[in-house]
Amino acid sequence: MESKNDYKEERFDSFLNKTIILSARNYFKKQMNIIDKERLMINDMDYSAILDDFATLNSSFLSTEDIDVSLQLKSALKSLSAIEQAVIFLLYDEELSQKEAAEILEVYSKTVSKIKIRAINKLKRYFKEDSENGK
Amino acid sequence: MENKSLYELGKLAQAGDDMAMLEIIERKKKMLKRYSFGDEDRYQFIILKLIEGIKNYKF
Repeated sequence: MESKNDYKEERFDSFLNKTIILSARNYFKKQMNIIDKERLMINDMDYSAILDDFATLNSSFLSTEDIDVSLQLKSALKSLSAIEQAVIFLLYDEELSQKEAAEILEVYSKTVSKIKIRAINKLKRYFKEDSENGK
Repeated sequence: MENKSLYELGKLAQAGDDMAMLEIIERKKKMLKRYSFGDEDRYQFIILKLIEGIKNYKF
């Protein structure tokens, strides 16, 4: 009797999980069709330098606890496309690996890497322009 | 509500118990957050689909 209940519980739990995953993917696909139709570009970039820059930016944000920086970062993230926001969120907020993020977004791991670089570049540009305007 | 299993909560939620529905959402919060990528619109969309799914689930 108990195992039957366990089976029902597991079945329902798995149904809920699948519903969440499929809904997220459907929403994401819709967004991709509307906003992000641009093709992914492969650029020759210094990956490690960009990541180091982002890490510096991130650590200074955490240590200063400055609300201005927080708002700045928020508006900078809004300037990214849907898929770029998703990649940044999964990699840096959820701390997932590129492979895990790729599974959630249903893209290749290499694509996640390209999107990440593109997003970081956009953020760098955003902060550079912002600081130049502030001078 | 906290002592009830997900299955029991699902049945109650389908019958119109809002507290049971909220408890299910609460228990799935971590997953909802992860799959909404920090986007409030996406978060709401997934919750709506989840409620729709629970309402139509064959217990």
